[in-house]
Amino acid sequence: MSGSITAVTAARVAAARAHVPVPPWRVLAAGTVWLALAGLTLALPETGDFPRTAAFAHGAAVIGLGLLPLGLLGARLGGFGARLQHWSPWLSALAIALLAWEVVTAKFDLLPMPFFPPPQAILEVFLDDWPRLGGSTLNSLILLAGGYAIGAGFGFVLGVAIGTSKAVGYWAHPVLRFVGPLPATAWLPLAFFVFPTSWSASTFLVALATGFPVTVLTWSGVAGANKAYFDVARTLGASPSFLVLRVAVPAALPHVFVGLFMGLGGSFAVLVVAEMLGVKSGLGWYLQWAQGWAAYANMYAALIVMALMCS
Amino acid sequence: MVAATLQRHTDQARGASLHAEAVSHAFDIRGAPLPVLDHVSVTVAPGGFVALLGPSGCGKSTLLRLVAGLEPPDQGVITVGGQLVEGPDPSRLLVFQDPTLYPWRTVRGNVALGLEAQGVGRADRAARIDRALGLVGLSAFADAYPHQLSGGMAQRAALARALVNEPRLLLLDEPLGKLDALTRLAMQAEILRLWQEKRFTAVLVTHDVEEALILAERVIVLSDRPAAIRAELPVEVPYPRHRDDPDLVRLRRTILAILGQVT
Repeated sequence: MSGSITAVTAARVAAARAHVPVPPWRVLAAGTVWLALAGLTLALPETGDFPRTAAFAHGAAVIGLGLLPLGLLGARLGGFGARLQHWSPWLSALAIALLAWEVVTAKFDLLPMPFFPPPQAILEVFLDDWPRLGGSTLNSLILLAGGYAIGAGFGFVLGVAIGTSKAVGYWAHPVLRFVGPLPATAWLPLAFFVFPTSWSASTFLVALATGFPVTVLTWSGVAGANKAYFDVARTLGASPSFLVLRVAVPAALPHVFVGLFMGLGGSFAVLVVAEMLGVKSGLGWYLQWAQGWAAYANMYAALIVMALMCS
Repeated sequence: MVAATLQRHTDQARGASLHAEAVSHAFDIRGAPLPVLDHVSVTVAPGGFVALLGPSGCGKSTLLRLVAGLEPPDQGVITVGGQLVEGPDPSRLLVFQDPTLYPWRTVRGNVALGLEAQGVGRADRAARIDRALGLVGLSAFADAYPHQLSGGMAQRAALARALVNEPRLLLLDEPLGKLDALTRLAMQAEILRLWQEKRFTAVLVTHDVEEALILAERVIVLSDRPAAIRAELPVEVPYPRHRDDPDLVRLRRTILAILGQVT
């Protein structure tokens, strides 16, 4: 009965949402702003020498010209059109921000130059230095995926073991309490000294940064599971392995996902630091390298890649 | 066909006897023992229906946990069907006040729990689950998740989860305590029907005098903690019983007087 009531409420909410009117001119406005960005970029004289100014302006023009017909089609585009309308104020804001950035850097030179490159300089990095940047990104991803998988797997098993076995809890709990709060980056000097390669050291650090939150949250998920779930299963004839795999683990899963998410943030942070200090590839290394050459445009490009990777 | 008839006949005689002799139990509250059961002796004949009635927190639920084998008693002996209770067993099942359905499993998945735990084959499982769901009238909600069920439906699912294992002793720990008044009446009739159909032995813990009188063949009145037996009253009124039956009204007055003395 309550199920049907929930369904009815959900349907009503969806209907109400669908009826919110969205002005159709939003997409057209966004297209116009992008065209304005393209025009001003080409028209205003520049204070420096930027080989990719035209490419940047042409890119903006393509986006603007693409948005105009999409805006005219409007509702006929269905789900994509609705999403486009929803995000078109953001598209406009993005073009305005790029224009402001363009004006204060390349056009009127209001910001100190090597530290604040114009957008076309960053575009130049993506267009001309993509083999190195792409390779670094790939190496970072490989390192991160390996370490993360090891850390998550180990943390999950350890968390379940601590939560379900008194003996494991007795031995693991103090170690976890003592070692766990240490930031994984603090292990860096030791890891680079103990492990044969910087790759294995980074994998260890990433696994450590992932493993701790996953362990603790899995454990708390198992420990916090409703005790009655275990009573029910025991009276129904469940074996110890059934209690762990079919009761404790599913009951803990929501916590495990929180742990996996927290571990991802921590592991990425330690990966970047490890790459800055020891590993000879990856995005952290690229950042360090770009700073060494005062190539700040490359640095911004790497930061953009990192932001895109995390989102 | 013959096998099915045989099965039904053995079903008729499924109820197991219950003997609890001089059972005492205490909880350990920070090193200090808190006695909850004081030499409680209960005997239920195979297929019987007994209600344990007493004030909240008097130790009734603890007695059921001991009979279910979830904890060993400090003192005393409990046998079910002539066998000493040494641990949990799917032939003695508890239905709790909360349905305690697993939220990550559908109704069907929850009912399947006992059969999965006992290693019953997939093909056998499906038929038995369908039968159990039909028995409690939940066939249409087999694929619903617990959060989509009303309180009464969730408790029906919990009953199906127990009954699919064909228990010989069903321990009902205030199973209707959290339901609204109307659902409660419907579920009382439901429990009675299931008991008459399946002939398991039933022990019901409740603090609702009327519920005990409508359902049970015998009512055992317990004292405040530590629970000791105050009185045992046979309810010799044929089923289906009516709430206004003069015998029941008289018994109700007697029981309330006993409970009033206690508190």
